[in-house]
Amino acid sequence: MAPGFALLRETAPLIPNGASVVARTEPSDPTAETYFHRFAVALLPGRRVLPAALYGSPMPPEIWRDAEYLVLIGGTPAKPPGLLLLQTSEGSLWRRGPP
Amino acid sequence: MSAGFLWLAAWLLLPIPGIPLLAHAAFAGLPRIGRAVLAGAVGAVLISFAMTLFALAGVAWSIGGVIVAALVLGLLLRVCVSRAPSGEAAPSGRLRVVGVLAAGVAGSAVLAALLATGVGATGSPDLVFFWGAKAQQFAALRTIDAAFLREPFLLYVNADYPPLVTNLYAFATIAAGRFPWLAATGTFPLILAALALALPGILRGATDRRRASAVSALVVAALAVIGIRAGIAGNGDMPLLFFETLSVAALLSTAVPQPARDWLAGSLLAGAATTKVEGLPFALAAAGLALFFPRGSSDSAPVRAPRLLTPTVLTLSAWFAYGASRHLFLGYSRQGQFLDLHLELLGTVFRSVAAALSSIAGGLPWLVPLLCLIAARPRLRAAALPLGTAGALVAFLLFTYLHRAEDPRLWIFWSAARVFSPVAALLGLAATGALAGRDEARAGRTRSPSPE
Repeated sequence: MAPGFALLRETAPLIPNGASVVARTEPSDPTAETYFHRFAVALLPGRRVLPAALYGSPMPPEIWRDAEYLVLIGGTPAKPPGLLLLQTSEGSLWRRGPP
Repeated sequence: MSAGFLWLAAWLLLPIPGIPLLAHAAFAGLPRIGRAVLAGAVGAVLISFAMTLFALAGVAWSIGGVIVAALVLGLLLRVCVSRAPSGEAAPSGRLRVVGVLAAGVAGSAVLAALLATGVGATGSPDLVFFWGAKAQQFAALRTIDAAFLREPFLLYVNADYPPLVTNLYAFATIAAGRFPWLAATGTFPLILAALALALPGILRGATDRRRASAVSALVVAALAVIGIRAGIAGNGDMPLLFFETLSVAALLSTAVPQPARDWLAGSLLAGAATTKVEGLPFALAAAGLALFFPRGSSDSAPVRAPRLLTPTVLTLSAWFAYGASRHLFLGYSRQGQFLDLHLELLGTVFRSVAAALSSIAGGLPWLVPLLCLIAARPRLRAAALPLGTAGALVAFLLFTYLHRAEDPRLWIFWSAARVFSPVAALLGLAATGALAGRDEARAGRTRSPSPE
């Protein structure tokens, strides 16, 4: 959990207040995503944090796929999900939506 | 100055609303440090109460406004004790070797808690999951955020949990400008230190100086070990233990004359009831037992009951009125269907609780106070208040664990050591009651005319 916690702290200055954000893992792990959703709520106050999973169960993609920002804990995906804003050893932050 | 220091410094404002009560001459029998800590405890309850009333009325929080409102409540509390006689200081008596050793044990326990917290070994996940998350949200909005509590994706923040910890954290966050997570974990050693400073002086009204010091050290050391091993830093457990331990100590002690003692204990019980859900059964049990087993009080139970229970009724009523007015909750949420007990899980629950408690230093934080109590040869009547409260709390917790149909082992594993921690403190305090009972009996024999 610690790498994701650290990454979320690092992303805080890059995600504006009021923006929507989802924290996911690569590869997807609903248990870990449940914790990262809770961490994101605590560490990213003022943002609209959408859950990729709750109580260890994955949420339907329509709940989180329109999030403006994606915090990806773990490896970098083969296809970039948006504009890369931050890359660390723990993961990456992407801004999504129209270029 | 960093936000963390400012956040912790804001806690120094808490005694202000408690000063009108604790400055009364009825509390003259307590040492100054004990009165200062108790003023902080009562002030914390009043500040949280004022913040809940502000939220209920739709008035935005400000540091000055909340303190002034809480001070007015403190002055009303002072009126309730205005006719109380002056308290008398306990005989000073020499501290001797036992007292010095006890002070060393308590100091070492607090230092261990401080060091363990400093290296990040005691942090509670619940601080991040809901105590801190709610507090910083409330601080940003300058009130309790009903929309945040209503959010369907945030059910895990437990909207109905009583408000004292999140209110006080929000209060400090408004003062500091942001919520400092590491500083919030510092509340564990700091509140434990406050307890260690206040408890011996309060218990001196229940027993002699050396015994008061020894029992205080026992309680503080037991709570330090549980807190470190169970990871309670930053969550509601240490504030709950603080209010619970001080309230029972105040009820055992005769250092403060009536009605001031009851109003003090009642305020502290309100602190417990508004800190965590299990604080309410604790407060009801302690108040009820104090009425049935009075110490140094000739007032009748119908006279005393309002003093002991009015603060809890008012503070919790404000919270539930807020929940009802925002369509959030009408009472505490339940674990499963009420009274739908799964007695087939009784053996699992007992074994799981025993395993959870023995995982904390082999269960020593509960076993050592129990052995001390047995060695003190308890007079049950003198120890009835802490022992009865412990029994009621244990019954409530087992009752709660039996309400879920699912396998409760994981739930008990991560909760039992924390929620059973007040039992360790109560066993220690019961040793004080037992000693006092023996002393009272001995004094009675000494005063009785010898038979011819």
